[in-house]
Amino acid sequence: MIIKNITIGNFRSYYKESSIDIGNGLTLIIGSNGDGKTTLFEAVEWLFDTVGSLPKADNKYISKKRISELMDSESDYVRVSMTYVNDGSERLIQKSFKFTKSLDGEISTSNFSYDLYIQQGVEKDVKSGEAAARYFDRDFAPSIRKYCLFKGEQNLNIFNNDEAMSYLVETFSQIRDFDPYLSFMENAKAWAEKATDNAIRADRKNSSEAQRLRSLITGEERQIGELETELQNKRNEAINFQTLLEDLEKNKEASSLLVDTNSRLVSLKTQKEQVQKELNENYTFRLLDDMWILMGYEPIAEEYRDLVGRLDKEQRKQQSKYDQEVGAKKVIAQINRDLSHGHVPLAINIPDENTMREMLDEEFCKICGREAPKGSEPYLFMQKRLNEYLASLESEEEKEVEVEPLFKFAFIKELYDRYSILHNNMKFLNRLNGYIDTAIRENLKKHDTIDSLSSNIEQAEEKKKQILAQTDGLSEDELVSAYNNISEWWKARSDAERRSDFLDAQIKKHSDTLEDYRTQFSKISEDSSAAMYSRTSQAIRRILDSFVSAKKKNKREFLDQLEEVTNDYLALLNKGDFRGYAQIIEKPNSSAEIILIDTDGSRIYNANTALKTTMYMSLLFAVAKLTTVKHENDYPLIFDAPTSSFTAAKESDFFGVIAGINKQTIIVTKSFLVEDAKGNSTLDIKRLGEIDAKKYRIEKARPFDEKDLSTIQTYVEPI
Amino acid sequence: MTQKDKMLQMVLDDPRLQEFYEYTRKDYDEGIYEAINSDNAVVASVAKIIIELNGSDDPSEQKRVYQTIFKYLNDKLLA
Repeated sequence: MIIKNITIGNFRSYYKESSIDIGNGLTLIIGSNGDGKTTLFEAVEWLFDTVGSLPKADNKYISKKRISELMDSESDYVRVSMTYVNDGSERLIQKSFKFTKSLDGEISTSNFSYDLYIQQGVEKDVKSGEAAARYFDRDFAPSIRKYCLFKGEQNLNIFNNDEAMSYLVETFSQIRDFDPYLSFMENAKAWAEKATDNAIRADRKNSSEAQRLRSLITGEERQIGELETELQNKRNEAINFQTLLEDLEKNKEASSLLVDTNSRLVSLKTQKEQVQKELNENYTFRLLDDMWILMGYEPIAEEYRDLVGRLDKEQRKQQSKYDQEVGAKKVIAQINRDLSHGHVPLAINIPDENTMREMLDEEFCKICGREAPKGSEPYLFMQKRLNEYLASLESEEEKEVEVEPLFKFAFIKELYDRYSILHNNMKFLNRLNGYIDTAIRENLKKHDTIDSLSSNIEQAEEKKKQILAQTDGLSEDELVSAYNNISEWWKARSDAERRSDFLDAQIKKHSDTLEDYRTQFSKISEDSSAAMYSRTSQAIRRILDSFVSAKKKNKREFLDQLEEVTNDYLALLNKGDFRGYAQIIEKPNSSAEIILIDTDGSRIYNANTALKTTMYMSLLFAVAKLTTVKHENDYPLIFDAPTSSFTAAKESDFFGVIAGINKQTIIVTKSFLVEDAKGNSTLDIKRLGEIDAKKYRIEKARPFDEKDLSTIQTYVEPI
Repeated sequence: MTQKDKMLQMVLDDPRLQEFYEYTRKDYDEGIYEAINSDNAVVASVAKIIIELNGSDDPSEQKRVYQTIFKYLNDKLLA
């Protein structure tokens, strides 16, 4: 939505009609105290007010000057209208009522109207009353208007109450989109569990085990619920005591001693965290990861080397003996071969092959002169001789005696190789003792440093408590009592934080147990419908948990994005004056706070008002920017006197930056006014000329009587 | 990327859900209509819930979507 024009008629000091054309960027409306700045702002507020029942005519809005001019029974109108463009079409919203002066001089009001004119091509559609309000709310939602109009510097903090953050997040992030799904998942979980319980009751075989587990599950769920409630209470308790201590700090913001102590505390805590991070006491992991386990390995390695040496010697001995035996066998084989080459007469080839075949064919042995029928002993003998002869022909070549190796595998060599590797690493192993000793010594040293830092932190905290307790005019007893109070708050906060950590751990432990019971529950009677329903029920519950965690994540992402854009604007608006940053802290009770952090990481409690104003305005610009992106609809920001605490130079820079931001901003201010020699306010034209904005001067017409409102009339003039 | 795609990714991003039902969120970067056809019953169920409920808080609509999902999970987780 872009505002084009605001017209005000007979609204308090705005006598008759005043019209202001609004630029797309910065519009400055400059006026001195009492010139009608706040009235202009309130006229817009009145126009935008659609909440509650219409009409809202009120005599207090009527211009006293106009009333004084009216004749008996004469009437006129109070009218505030705004022309704006939304969704590409021009619209005019107007709120007005008639006022009439009676014969006895009384003023009555009538004809209240609230109208919205929508230009559609050449036609103009008019909505009136509630319909106009509804249409206008659609164009410019009340939830967004909350982040649009700001009166005074002190009202810029949009996180000013506990509900503010939830409202902001729900309005501008997509977090509300999750709500129907979460409600559905909660119902789905309950329905699925009921279906499972019914199925288990029907499954008689496993019902007693199922009941036992169901009772354990219910017990764990109840316990987790109780722990979560206590955790929430403890967190709130910690916040409350923290707030008490912070309030005390704010009162001491001028104390340089406190600033120094805070800075020392931050530095000490950072150092302690750093040293704690450097501690490496995972000795169990280092046994394997850093091979510490080999620390006492040297004598074992030596024993190993001796054993391998002995084994090698024994092997060589056996090999030598074996070689001798094999060698003897080879010699005998050679002799045999030599003999088989004819040194023994009538060997295998006598009688020759032909003679042998002839005798076999005739089944008669011609050597011994007897019958040798087939199958008989002499026949078989002759046949054997022939076969031996034929076989001998095939093995004419000298055959090597096949020797089976004594040691088939080279294990000894492998053992030697391993020794060799071990030997190469021996230097490292010899140094291991030293490494381990150094690591342990370093860790012990770090523990000493941590102890010393903890003691310094404790001292600094004691000092801080004392500083906080000191107030001018306190007697010694009162000082002691104030100190005791602070110490108690301090202790209560620490106790609450410690208890919260403990409860967190307990919840985690019980959640694991619960998960275990649920898994057991899903496994009973695996093939039954009860088990099937149980698995489904479990899946639905897990999906519910994921929706819950998605919603939380969505919220944090929105706040991170908001913080990032806020810091972009903060850097711009401070033009390098401030090098720290803003941080949005989400508190456990769902509220939030925006704070300033210095370059050294410490929180700034004593920021000046101008710096806080730039922070709050940066946040507003960031909200507007994110809203524009998410809702695809821009909206203007309207401020009444937001920079009262700024110096002239700071104001010029500030407005210069806002003029450069592509954002419709209307600022009603008394900046750029300087007093001349006669005490009259005049414009600082030179400074104003440097600002790229649409500029208006509003001023009371002179002469006027401050005590007589019927003499007051505001003029609006473009500069 | 639509609001439904964003919601799906935020829900599927839960490391515990990824671990229990053995999927990787990055596999469903393309959007909700890819997830609805997933072989992983839980991934497909989340997509079905987001699409079928369509942000409705109507009790009869919730019951209808529940019955669809309950039946779907019973069939798929059994397989």
